[in-house]
Amino acid sequence: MKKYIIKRLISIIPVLIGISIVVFFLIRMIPGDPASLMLSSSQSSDPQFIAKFNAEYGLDKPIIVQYIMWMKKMVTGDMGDSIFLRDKVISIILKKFPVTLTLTIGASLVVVVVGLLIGVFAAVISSSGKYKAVDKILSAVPIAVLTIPDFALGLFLMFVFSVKLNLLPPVGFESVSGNTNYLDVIRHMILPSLTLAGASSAATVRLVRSSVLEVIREEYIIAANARGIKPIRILFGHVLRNALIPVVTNTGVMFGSMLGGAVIVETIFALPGMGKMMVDAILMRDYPMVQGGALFIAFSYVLINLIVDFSYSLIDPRIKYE
Amino acid sequence: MTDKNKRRKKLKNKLFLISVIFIAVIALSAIFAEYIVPYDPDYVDIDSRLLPVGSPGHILGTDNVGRDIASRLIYGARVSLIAGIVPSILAMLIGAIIGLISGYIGGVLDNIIMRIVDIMLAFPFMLLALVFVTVLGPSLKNAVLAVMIATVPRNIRLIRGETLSLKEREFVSACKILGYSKPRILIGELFPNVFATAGTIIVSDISLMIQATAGLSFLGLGVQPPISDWGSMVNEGRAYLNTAPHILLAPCTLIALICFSFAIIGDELYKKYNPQLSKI
Repeated sequence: MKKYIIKRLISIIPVLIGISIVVFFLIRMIPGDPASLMLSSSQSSDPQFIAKFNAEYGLDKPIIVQYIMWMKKMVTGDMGDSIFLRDKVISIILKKFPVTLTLTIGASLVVVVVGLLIGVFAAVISSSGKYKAVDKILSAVPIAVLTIPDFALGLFLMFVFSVKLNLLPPVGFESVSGNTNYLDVIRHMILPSLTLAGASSAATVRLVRSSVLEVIREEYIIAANARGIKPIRILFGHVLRNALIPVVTNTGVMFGSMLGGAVIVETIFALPGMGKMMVDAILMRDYPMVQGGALFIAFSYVLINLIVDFSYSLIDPRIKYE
Repeated sequence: MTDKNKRRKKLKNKLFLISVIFIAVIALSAIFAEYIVPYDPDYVDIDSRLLPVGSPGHILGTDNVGRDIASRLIYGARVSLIAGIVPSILAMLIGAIIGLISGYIGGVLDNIIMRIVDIMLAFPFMLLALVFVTVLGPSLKNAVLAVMIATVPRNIRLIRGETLSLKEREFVSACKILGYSKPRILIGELFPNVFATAGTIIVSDISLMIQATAGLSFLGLGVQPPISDWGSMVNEGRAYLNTAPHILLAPCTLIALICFSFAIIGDELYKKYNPQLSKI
């Protein structure tokens, strides 16, 4: 196990370097040079000033040298300054990250709870052979939910729960009035979490359903039935335990992609998270911000997938690492 | 086959048929938009703004500047359908070519390609699309391109996996013994065999692509005015969620329905070509 962890840790180094190369060169492919973007128009019309600017930022050096310089700064956490927000990129990211993390954790909770409850229920209904209409509905609805775009789902939920029923706040991370507490944040997080969780929950329901149905057919379940063990005990003690393995690993992967894919949800609900930050930065052509944000999100995505890989053996002792 | 399975299959087929018909209707009305729309989609009529659904002359009402929503939806279907279908096909074509070559030739080339794919897959899909839109600049063409590029790595991996298992089969060995050249085996033998998988993925992807490009338009990074697609219609209607929700509910519903239809067709094809999975 220890050997495997070390091997995996070493194997992500080239991936991380690759990500940084992709981000570095993509940002440099953007038409227009940094000097004209970052300097005022009077400054950028002065060739002497541009030369000084380029020398200061190392832009007159060969591209490889520039990359190594840039990487050195990135590794130490110096991602430069945002052009529009007049602040260090890393400190903006660290301010926005907790919002996105809270949203992602909320959504993951929804995915696990909804996915398990409805998935197991759907499987039990299907395997019982009765209630065919319910079975049909339970297998068609997840496909429908899966195909609703997240912005449509978010606006629909906002329309029903905030506009019509006036139950939950429509936008923001906390109340503006200042009396913010955990309960307030949770109230603000319910609709965004549900929206972000939508498609993943539907996918999880399908996964749990098919996974439980598969386990139910195994011989040891038939044997347990034959021995007269209560069905409810078979379900929770035998079926669920084995059906859970693909679900848990899948949730981990979803957590990673939700962390990077919360852009639309954050925009709809005006949440000051990483996704909203990225869209704003793109629209303002704030390249240091886009670069830092992309790097940060991609790195955390890789790290989460790594943790998911490690967790396999904790869930299923049968899985051996080489 | 039991009675239950038969009946379920019938239901699925019915849903499949409805989906095909629905897509055909939308596609035909998009193609012949000029002849069927009652109004110019961009015609602004301030006097009749924010008319509700079912108003005389405007079946789905009008938006905040008095444009006919039904006409705009039909014209928007052009953009959204192209934005779904074109990148799905192109992403698969590129992915299939690279995946086939990578899987069949193997060795150093395969290693290099797969490491690049690993790196691309290390970015969440939406982030990758966003980064490409940043580089290319916001427009419909670039949004489609960005979504396409973001999908290629996954397709490469899928087709490569398929190729690796096909490569070991007898018919490929037979071709080698017969002295076929590598390109002939690739194009004549392996390509037709990954075609079913590729086709299934293309259809399932259309739904994802429509959602993704509509999402980019919704963020203001896709279609730029005066052209509009369903995503940008939703974005424009956001401010009227309180007073005139029909402006955005109509395009939202249409996106959901069309994506559902493509997903159903994709699902059905998937089961057809992966029969061992259709038992559940």
